[in-house]
Amino acid sequence: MDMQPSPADNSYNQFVSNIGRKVLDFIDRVGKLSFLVWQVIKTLRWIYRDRKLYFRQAMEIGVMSLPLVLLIGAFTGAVSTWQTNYTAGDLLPLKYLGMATFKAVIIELGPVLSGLVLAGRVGSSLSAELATMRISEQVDALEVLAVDPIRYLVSPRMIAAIIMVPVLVTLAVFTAMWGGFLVANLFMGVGFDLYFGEIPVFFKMKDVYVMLAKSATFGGIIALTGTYVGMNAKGGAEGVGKATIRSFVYSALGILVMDYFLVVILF
Amino acid sequence: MIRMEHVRKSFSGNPVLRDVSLEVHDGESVVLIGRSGSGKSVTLRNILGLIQPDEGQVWVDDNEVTAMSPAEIMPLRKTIGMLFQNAALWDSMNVFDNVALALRHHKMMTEPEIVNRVYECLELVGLGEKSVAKRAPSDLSGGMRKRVGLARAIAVQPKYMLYDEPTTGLDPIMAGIIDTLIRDLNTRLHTTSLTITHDMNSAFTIADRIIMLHRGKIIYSGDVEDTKVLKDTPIGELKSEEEMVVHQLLNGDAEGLIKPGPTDHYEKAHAHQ
Repeated sequence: MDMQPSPADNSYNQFVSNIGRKVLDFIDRVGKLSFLVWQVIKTLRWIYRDRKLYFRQAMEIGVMSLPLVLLIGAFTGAVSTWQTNYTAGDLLPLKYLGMATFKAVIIELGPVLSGLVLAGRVGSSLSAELATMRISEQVDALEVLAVDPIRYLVSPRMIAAIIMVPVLVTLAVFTAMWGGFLVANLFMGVGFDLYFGEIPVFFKMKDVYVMLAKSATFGGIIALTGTYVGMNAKGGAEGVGKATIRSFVYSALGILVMDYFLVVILF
Repeated sequence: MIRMEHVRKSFSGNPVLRDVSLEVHDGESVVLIGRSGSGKSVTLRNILGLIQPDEGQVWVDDNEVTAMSPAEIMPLRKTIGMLFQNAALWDSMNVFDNVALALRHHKMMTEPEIVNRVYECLELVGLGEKSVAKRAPSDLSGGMRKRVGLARAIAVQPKYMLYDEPTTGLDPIMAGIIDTLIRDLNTRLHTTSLTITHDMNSAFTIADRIIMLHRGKIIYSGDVEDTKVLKDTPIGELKSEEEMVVHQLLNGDAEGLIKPGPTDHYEKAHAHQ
């Protein structure tokens, strides 16, 4: 007698099969992302010849994002100083206010908040631009003319992001300190020497290295996600919209997950 | 010569090309006609190596495209020009830079030579004025965009030209201009060309030979004069189902073996093949 699978068996099989499909899909994407990184590395031998493309992207990603990042930095510093005073004001002498803000901003808030904002500003823009090019056959047009789209479109964006995001974050940290000082000075009566005086005492070069490592990694994540999603977009205007959303969601998730792993590795 | 042998290609289990074999001889202008979704664009993409067939071989001269790596295909592509359906101009560049990009990228010429070559190509397509060269693609009409796309394709002096529905979306006068331009360029530049279209006026203007692709198979190949005769043949005198399908498409008849929808009369009759 044939045994018919029960509805419970069917739903269990479907559940296991869905999990399996998701795992395979994830492995496939990781493989494709790794392959994209390898393709980018292979094009780096042309970096001097293609320097104009790299400079153009550095301008687009770096200089054009500067006002936004500086604004975010200033408010991050201001909020950080205010919250530090509110949370630890009874325990922490005011002379440590600047140092506490500096540590919070340079190690964590600067890279992560700037990274998230740039995931929106840069990552979405990259994915929308490349998705539009993919869907309107502009990427095919490059390939047909024997112009490697990885070399021409992806590598300049990725390298520019890896270089320019640390620069942007460094500037954001500077403005954060000035934003914090403004709040401390206006609302708490803390002077310049008192606010900045303790920073050299507790300053460690490692903090700078961590900030640079984090922001370069986040820059890489933003560009890798944006270019990968954009280059693989399908299906008209809706495809461009979906690519833009996916790019931001994956970048933001990637930044927060990598932030955790970098903290574990670096400290 | 471009040659496809027994090419099959499916997408998500849906067969698009089913055993397609065709040849485009040197100096010949072949037009591939067929309904939307019959596999015309997939045929072009296979020739360019933009997609790989599931089975079969594609040859361009002595190079087997289907056996080449992406890096190996790149030099071969310098011998093939392509005019895309919507021109596919790069929006971030002006007309001049669109036409010059491949020349600059491949370091084929010095900058003054590139300037001359770009204006020469723009002149050939009737857009020789300097003011046009400075304009952004978004400021151009559909016909001008196609002509810039054509100038970009011929700038690298390709041996082969592929045209993907060159007259789609153009008014009849502009379509006529583009057809004449393609015909002239093929003659003046001695290119071998494969054009896909469902514009029959365009097909008869451009072609030396017309091939029809239907449901992923080539069901007809004939020179222009024979095809014109077939077009004008009364339905009662047609000898086979294939001829009836070709006749229906050539005349744009709503009634016939081809019906809208996933399966038609012809498809049902040949489903076992």
